[in-house]
Amino acid sequence: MININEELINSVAPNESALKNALGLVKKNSFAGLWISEDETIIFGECIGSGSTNYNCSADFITPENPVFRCTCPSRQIPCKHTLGLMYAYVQRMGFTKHEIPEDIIEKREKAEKRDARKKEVSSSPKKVNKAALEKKIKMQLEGLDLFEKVVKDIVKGGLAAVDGNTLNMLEEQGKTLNSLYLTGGQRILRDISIALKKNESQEVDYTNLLSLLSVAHTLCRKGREHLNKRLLDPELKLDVDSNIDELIGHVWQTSELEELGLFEADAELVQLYFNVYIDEGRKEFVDVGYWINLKNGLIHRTCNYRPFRAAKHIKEEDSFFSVAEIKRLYVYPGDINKRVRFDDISIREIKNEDYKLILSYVNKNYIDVVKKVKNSIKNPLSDKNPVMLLNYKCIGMVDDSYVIEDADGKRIILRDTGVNGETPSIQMLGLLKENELKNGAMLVMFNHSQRDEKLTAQPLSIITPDGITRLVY
Amino acid sequence: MGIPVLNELYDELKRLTVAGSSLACDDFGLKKLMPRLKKLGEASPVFLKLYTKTEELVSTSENSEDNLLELLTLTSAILYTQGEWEINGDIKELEVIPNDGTTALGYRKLSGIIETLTRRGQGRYNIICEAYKEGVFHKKDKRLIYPILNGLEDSYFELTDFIIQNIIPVYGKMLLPMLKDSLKIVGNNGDAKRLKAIHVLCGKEEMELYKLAASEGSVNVKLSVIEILKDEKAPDEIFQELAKDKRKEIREAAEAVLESRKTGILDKLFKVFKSQ
Repeated sequence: MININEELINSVAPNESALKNALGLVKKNSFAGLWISEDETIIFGECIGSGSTNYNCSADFITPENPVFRCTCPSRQIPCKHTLGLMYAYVQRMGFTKHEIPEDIIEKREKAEKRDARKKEVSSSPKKVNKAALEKKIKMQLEGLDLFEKVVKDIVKGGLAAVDGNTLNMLEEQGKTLNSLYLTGGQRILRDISIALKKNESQEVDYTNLLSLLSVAHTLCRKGREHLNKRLLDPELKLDVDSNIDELIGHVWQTSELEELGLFEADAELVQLYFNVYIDEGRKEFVDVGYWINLKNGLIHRTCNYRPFRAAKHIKEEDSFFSVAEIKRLYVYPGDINKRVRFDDISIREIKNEDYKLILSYVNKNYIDVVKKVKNSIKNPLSDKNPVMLLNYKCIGMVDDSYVIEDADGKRIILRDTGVNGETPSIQMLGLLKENELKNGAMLVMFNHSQRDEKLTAQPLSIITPDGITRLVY
Repeated sequence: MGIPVLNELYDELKRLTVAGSSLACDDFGLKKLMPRLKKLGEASPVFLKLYTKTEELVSTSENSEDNLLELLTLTSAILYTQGEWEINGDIKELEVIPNDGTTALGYRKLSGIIETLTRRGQGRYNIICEAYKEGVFHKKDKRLIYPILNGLEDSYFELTDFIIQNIIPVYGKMLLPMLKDSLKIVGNNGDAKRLKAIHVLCGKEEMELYKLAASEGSVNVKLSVIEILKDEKAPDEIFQELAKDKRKEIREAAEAVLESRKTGILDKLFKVFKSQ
């Protein structure tokens, strides 16, 4: 039995316009035929398009957690609007008649099966690491760190005020060299420094930001060098599983590496509590960020989908997710409070009241402990400066002009928009909460330490009650 | 608490990072802070470390950039642990606006509409109309409320009229407190639109507000209220009063209403006469 709902269609669609166009096809009755296989594992159809012959599209659910979408149209988007339209037609219960599976699909299924078997074979056999090449790469990264350190020190020695157009060009060039030395982390920081120096807003803000970037650069050089030298001494040249130093240097984790190091969780269930899309000028990428709660252990995880500006059109833009994601293998990156996770195949199940209750059982109740944990984390120059946590509150109220949440012990945390990373404001939304949300609920918050007034505050992102989740942003 | 001296140290380091670390040797500002750091260092190893690093920085011009970065990183890390987070005082209950809104829409649906309603760009009217036809606004998503109210400020009048006539009624009276809060009788075109939106939601109920706007409003607000009062069949006296206004456009608008009423009466009399 094929289980398709709008959430699934939304989650696989590459973007909003593909969805709109797909709905348009259904409305215009563009499907010349709609069929379902006898064993109900695949739906397929013929869609009238701009080509001389109809497009044959199909959505194959033989592996329900990893459906395969096929279409004969020339679109580079997968699934294309025709396949999305086919699924909408199925959701809207338009007459699908039983039919034999077309020959070409059977052939493709067989090929895919063989491919999967080969993949399994490869993944089950221990992966051979070319140690000489890896050692060479690490040495190049160390060389990159030396160059990076020199550039940063030169900036500090001459002073930020002395940086001119030529220096900015030099930073761009040095960044490219760092990239070729597998030090993309260093390249990103140099780009961020350039961007901050080019901005002509308030001087105070720019320099505070620049000082943080220089601290990060300095620490990355020190800790990165320490870590890479340690790796060189290790006969296995292993990556660090306790911190995100490898990712910061520029390592792109493969799921096979995470699997090998045991950094995964089997049969996990995640519920998304917050979603947003940022523009990261330093990376030259759009970043789709989601914060999810793990129903097994209550940890708040982060998903990041990077879409380079140049290729953004061809990469799927993520969206808010409102169901429970059942994940066979959840890969967990090394990190701090909000560890990054990744997953490939998911099944979707509707969220129930028991899930909300379970989420509420994981809340942090003591603000003193929470703040201690946050401060402990953000004092590390390489850490995420905006950790996200789920807090219990006795009430939401106001003290003078400040919005606050109060815990059972009467301790309060100030709520304020962070204003970082182009974060969407949400404080205004508190005035639109419902009466039952003002007391004894849970709030997902993003912490921020403002260097301007030396205050640690939190931005409300979502409210969780036994009845549901109210998203204040996306 | 070591915060004041920490902040002063941070400011000095910021100054030196901007000016260049080569000026750090014998820096007067840093030297001035050293006795205080030393004193705090007697009780706390962290401050002792700060003192030692500051001494290193001011004592030699060699490796000044390294010493400065090291001290800056340490100072910043300590400052992160010192952030104030508690707040004292009486807590007041949060006043919320009663509403039956939801938060059911996802990022992809919301972000485009929010951007259209809050920023300027081409094709705004079409995007909003499409979204309305799709039924996006019928979900009554709360996160669209402020962008919709912001959309009333749009310079493209067809868009604001569409919002007033179609979207405002979907959300209904839950918008009223926000509309009234942001309404300035002596305000600009946006306020004139807000008044129209209030009229769409309340009709005659807000007659006192319309009368107030007619007597004290700005030009835009008065022009808007003339239309509202005309629809509500307000007594002639109000228009006669407005016809004495010092602004020509208001006088003309009020006189046009009075004129149309006269013509309307004559037409009716003529019809009655003809039928007999």
